[in-house]
Amino acid sequence: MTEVNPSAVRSAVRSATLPIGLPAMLPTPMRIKRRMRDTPDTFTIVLDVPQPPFVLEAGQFNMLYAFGVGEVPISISGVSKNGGELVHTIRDVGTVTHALSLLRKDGVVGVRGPYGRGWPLEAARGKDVILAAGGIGLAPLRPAIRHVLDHREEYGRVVILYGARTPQDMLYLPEIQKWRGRLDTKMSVTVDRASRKWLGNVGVITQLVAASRVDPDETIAMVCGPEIMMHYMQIHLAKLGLPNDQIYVSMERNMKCAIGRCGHCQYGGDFICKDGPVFTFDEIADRFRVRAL
Amino acid sequence: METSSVGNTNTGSIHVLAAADLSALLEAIVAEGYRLVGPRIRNGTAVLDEISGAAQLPRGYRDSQRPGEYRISANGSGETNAGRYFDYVVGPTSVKRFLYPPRRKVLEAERSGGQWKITEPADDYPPTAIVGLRSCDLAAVRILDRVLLNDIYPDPVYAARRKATLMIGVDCAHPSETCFCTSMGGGPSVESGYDLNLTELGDGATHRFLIAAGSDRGEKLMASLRLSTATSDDLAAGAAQRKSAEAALAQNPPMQDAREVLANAWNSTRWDSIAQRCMACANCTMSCPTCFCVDIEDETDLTGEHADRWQTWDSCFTMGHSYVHGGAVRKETTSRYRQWMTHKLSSWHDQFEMSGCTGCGRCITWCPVGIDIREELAAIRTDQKTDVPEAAQ
Amino acid sequence: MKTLSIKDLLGRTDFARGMSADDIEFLSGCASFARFSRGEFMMLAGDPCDHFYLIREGKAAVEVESGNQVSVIYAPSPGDIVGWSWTMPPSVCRYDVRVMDSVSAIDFDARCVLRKCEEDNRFGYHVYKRILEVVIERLMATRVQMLDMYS
Repeated sequence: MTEVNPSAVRSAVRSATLPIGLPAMLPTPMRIKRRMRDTPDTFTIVLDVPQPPFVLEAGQFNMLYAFGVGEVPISISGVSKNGGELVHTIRDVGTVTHALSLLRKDGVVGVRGPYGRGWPLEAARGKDVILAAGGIGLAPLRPAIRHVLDHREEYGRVVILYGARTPQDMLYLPEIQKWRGRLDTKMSVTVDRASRKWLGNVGVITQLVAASRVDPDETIAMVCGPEIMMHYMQIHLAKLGLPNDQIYVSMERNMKCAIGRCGHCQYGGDFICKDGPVFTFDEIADRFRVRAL
Repeated sequence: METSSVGNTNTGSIHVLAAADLSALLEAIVAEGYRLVGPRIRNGTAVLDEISGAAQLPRGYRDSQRPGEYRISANGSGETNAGRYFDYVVGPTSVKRFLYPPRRKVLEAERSGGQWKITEPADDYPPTAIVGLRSCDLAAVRILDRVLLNDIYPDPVYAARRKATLMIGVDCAHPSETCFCTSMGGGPSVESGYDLNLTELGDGATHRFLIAAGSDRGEKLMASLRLSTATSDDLAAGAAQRKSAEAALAQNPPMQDAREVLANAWNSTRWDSIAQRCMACANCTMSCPTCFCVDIEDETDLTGEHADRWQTWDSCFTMGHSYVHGGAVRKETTSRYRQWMTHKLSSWHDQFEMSGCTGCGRCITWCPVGIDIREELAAIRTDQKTDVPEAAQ
Repeated sequence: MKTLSIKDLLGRTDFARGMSADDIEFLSGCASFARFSRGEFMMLAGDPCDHFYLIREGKAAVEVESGNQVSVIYAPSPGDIVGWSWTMPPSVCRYDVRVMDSVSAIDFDARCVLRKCEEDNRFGYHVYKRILEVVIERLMATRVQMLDMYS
């Protein structure tokens, strides 16, 4: 059995001395410890890391392998403090994600990663932070939110914004309630539509931006959601005074290899898998003006 | 990297190999343990394939290539080239087929009772000598090296195949109408990347080769051959042949500005006009010696407990290439052609600090409707120039 | 005293941003304070739209009843303007606005504001520009909601 310690892969990449012959394409089998249903089409699995710790940057992704079906890139939505548990939130929308949705506790998932460039948690230190997620975009952003809240004293004002389709489509409700309860953080949630039972905001996430009391010169915004949502967020963050190089977004394209070789995730001159998935809006602003890129 | 010692330009002296001794060269290569690959006629084209020796080379053949058109025949031009081995240029296959094969098993997985065993199958690629590589083929190898070797995750199989491949170059004497290597900064003669290089000169009684080594492996092979030192007449004949090949290529439009022109052409209306002709057949990408996109698919046996993962050449012209949940990003041919050409000539520079194009012309010849990227680039450039107010925005 | 304090408050709102002191004074002449408790309706679809509100505290819900279902389409919160149908005839409210958390608001007499807009078109231009900004923002938000972008 060939085992790859993903954290070894990561450190090898960082030091740019990855030896030829390293089996970068080999998944490590990991057992499902727990499985939760988040929304009607979205579920979360907690994987048992065989050789902890699993070291990652918030915002990176793994390739998850459903045996015999194939691989799919899924952002990492959490890791336990000791690096022994890996959390992925997955939406059942394709062949591979559907196969993964059928797995239960003790089922096995192949994992290789982590890959890509994550959120700018270092660059944001000492600054105000806006963390804005739309829909399932909360999953890739959650490690960044957790990091900021766990190191709260290292950041200025912290504003968390979350937009979902309906109250029933919101992820991680218990955790969101904890975030909302904090006195050192401003957390606002809005939904596109709701019944009368919902007492929170109804509207779009961009409408929450104006009330963020941040210092625009000293603020980093991290935005994750559908492309159109990120695009509109940039417009509203710009109104607040944030320049594009302080706005970070996470992009998505087809991915087969995650190591810059299969060519599918090209986005202009970048490969989402190795140059992203997180980019400053500055880096890609022009591409938002091109259709079907 | 090991490969840097392979195929660098070597200033080793130029010798003359008698035409009759080409066989001796190929035999010496085989004696070294190499499988021999070279051009041979198949389905009316000169393809790179296994050959048994010089007798299988398309001796006396000339080709004629135009947008959407390829012809090759023995002495078809009526010129007195009978007996020359390499008077045609590149066919539909390229060196990529050998170094980065169209389909390869990359993984085997076995499952029993919750235990997985995952292995990478050994690659079976014998030491291979490819004879008759042109400057554009060797340029393609340089580009593939950058993409597959000199990036953060080098491809170990490519690396091994690259090392196990002996490159025998040949200078082009008769570029075709679709060739534009010099527009991309190379050719028509081989300048680097070879182990051995041949310049075919004369015919009949004067038929001979200039031969030069570009690596230790090449030097070693040369040492085993009966050679004479090249005279100033031999060198002059080589230079004259090169000059005439260059003259044939001089009609090509300049393309040095391709990167800038295309970087600003995402919203050009020319893409719509191309898309009306383009059939999205993917021939350009399949024949391109540098297109590296691959699909990765799993196959299981009937029990479902054994899975093979295959890596297969893919093309940005397929709908599946840009698939994300909910559908393809590039649904229309407009955006797919734009992706291909812009990547090849422009964004490749952003990714790999070089162009992805060698000027081999395969995408022009093998396009069923004869779309010519030289012309399309010129058209886009003209549109930009006549559209100054927009460009100035 | 009360009028003065409305003027002061108005002067600090986004709604009055860029208006001259005279204009703000002019506008506050049409304004008063209002409070609504939870469950109360600030507006009802079909009623004449002769008031609009600038919410200072609390939260309301713009609701529409369709079939047997009530949907919330927007939830105005502090800083939001509620009501713009008064700007054009027939000046009839289009939606129900129900209070979710007790609302304290500046209550504008729309007929009074309209009269002043007619008398002083320069003032009217300022007021309509601000209302248009609100309308554009809501329209854009509604279009994004229509996209159902998280589906």
